Amino acid sequence: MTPSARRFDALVVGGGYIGCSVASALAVAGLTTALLDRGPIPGGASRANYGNIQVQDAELDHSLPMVNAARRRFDGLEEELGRSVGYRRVGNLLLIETERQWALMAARVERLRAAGIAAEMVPAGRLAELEPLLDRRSLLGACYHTDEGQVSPFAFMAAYLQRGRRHGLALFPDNEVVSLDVQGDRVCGVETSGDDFSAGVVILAMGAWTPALGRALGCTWGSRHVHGQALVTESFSRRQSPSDGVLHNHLSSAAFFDSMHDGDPDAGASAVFAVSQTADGHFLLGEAGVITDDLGSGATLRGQAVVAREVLRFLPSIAGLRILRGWAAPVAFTDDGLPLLGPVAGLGGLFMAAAFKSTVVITPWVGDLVAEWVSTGRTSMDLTAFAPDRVIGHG
Amino acid sequence: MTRYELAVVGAGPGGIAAATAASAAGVATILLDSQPQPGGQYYRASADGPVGRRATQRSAALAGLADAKVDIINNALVWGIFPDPGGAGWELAFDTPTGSEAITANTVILATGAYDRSIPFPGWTLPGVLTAGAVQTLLKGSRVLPGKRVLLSGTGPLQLAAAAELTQAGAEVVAVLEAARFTWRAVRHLGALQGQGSRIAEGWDYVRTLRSARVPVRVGWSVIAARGASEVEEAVICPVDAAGRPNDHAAETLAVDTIVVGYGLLPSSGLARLAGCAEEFRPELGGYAPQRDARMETSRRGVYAAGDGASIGGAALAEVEGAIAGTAVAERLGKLSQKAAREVFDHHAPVLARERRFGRMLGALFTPGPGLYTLADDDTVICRCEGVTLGDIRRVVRDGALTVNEVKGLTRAGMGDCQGRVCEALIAGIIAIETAGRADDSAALQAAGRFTARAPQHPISVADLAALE
Repeated sequence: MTPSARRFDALVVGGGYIGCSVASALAVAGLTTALLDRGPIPGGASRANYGNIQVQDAELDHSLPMVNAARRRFDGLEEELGRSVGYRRVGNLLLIETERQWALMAARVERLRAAGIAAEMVPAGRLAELEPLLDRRSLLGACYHTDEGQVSPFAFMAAYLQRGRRHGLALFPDNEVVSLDVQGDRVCGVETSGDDFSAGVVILAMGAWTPALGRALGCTWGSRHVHGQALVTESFSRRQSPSDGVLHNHLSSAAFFDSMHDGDPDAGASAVFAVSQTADGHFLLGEAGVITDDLGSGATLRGQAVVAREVLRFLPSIAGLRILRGWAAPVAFTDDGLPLLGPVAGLGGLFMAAAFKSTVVITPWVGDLVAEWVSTGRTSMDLTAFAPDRVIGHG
Repeated sequence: MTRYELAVVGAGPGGIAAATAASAAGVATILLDSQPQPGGQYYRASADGPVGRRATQRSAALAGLADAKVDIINNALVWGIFPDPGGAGWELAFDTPTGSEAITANTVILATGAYDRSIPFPGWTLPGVLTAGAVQTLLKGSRVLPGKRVLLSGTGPLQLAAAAELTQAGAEVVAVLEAARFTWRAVRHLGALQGQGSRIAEGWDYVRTLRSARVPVRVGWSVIAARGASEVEEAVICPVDAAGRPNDHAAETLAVDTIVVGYGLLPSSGLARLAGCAEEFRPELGGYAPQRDARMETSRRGVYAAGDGASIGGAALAEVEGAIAGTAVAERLGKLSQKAAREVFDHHAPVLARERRFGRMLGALFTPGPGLYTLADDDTVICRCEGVTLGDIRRVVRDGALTVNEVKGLTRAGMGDCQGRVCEALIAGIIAIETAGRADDSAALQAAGRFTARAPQHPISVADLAALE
């Protein structure tokens, strides 16, 4: 540690959803806290996110207690944060085109309901009423979740940052962490492309950038990422009568689960249907995904075109809407579908929180969790299944 | 996808020179332009054909282009530049009246020209307030007069040109307001006038036209507000000091139906930014422009930028930069020997130096003072596409959003059709006023950053994108 290092009680690395929430919670808990990011804050893949509060894609074996606890945190959250985050309740339809998808989703629905999560299978006939804009011709039905929602991503992160700053949170954008400062078996700071920082605890909330830091430390941190692409259109309500252009649910394809089972994520630029509408009428169109080493935010021509084609299969009536822009972001995942969440064994003071299935839903809860861990040294929820050690290799 | 060795974007003086130089040397070249015919804003032909000095220049440029056998696609608005997945260059996607298309090219020359710099003031979004560029397009493109009683306000010689053209077309120009106050610092730029005989003659023509029509030119004045129920009915004007600060105690009101504003030009550099070209901060622009080497190549290999799209300097500079870029591409692709290319570069060097000197002079004399950026009030719209006001932006800046991208995320400013081309510099200026006390504080402007460029750069329909194979 250089003598010039800036000293804090806690360092949070990564200025996306998780980092903003954790840093804010630690500042509120009274710790002097710094939030660092390699780029802007708020930053990372969260800048590219739809803002959906999703439970439908939860991993079933270990994650349901966490997701259940987490989704309840949205009740009263805006009062707690002292400002609007654009929170609203929205349903979710996972569109089913094949018998195989129907069977997969039906099995999931049973497990979700047993855990107390609202979910039901609906036949194609009901979709006319649930989502009039849908072209139902290729659909057998859908898996319907009534209990989901949406926030405005930027308002959500800004609310955490603003609360954090009121409690002394310091922000350090454009400081890329290049190494951890380890003394004995404890982490006691980080070195960045800018300043050096020292602290008693370091929380890594780096999403897809997690493995790169592992490599810098000579370790293998085994998460990967999908380079995902999406587009946004003009607001439907500006062009048409408002009632014509409204989506009542988030829409996505059960093929997300299907392709996971097929295990063919490397097959070029392919798109899986995923469409939401923002509160002010813009359609978010996605998503094309390829597994690459690319951590950039640049779209590809082919990716944008396949998204548009896939979207029109289900929503032909938005063909004339104009696309305002597209983007891409690297989204972390693990092969077992479980997050990297918990203290890192053998390195005291280091906590990892990354590679969640749906990040927004988990965001407020992770802040609480890390604050609890920092102040008590333990967590009331059992994190064994999520332990980062399962993917960490040395040398 | 059709493959070319070179794609030139923009058929103004710079793009025409670039395509002509490269194609004449044997480079398989395509020229993509958003307008119905080549020429750009500078050579824009009026319905009954161009007249005067420019007509001769235009004919020569177009004849050279035709001789060089360049493939030209008119009405093609380029909305995306992507690295070619095959690694051999770049994909360019463009919208046409019949849908979107794409081509690939080993190299690209961006000659995308400029757009008008805007300075917001109360009422600037009323119908009847236009930019000088828009007025020229109306006059030359479709011979439409924007109004009957016209006030021009802004800075720089383009205003005089627009005022003269309006007068000749039959409008009553009530006044031309020049916000810049010339001081003795102007003297050190006198040398830049050397070799600018034709420019001076053109300027003198404008002045003569305005004199004979008895149009008052008021130096050190600016419009500060436009008023009207549903369109412009009157303009409020007042003297401004050397820093652009208005003295509204001396304000006057003029009855007009049209206000033409022209505060200079900003490079249209969205495609360069989208391609990932490194940019540098330019204080005279209050914003960013692509970095280039002596041969007009940007930081991205094979991507060149020429003319006002990279650095504001006018048509003559664009032409020379275009010729240099086209020659550099021909040399890179092995169509010209090093020696032959060197001869071309040497030939252009004196004009390049002369025109850059002149461009610097215009920048130094006619950069709007920071005080002009304080005209807007909390109800003034800053992002016209999304209807975001100064008050909206100030609120989030005071809540801690200190970069243009944070402001964008929280207010939607810059998220509309134009992707922030108009409001990026304005928002950076607002942040600079809040954090450093003045709109032209370079450090504060740089800290505010710039918008991320995204494809599509211009809106296209979902159906058109879906039809791209």
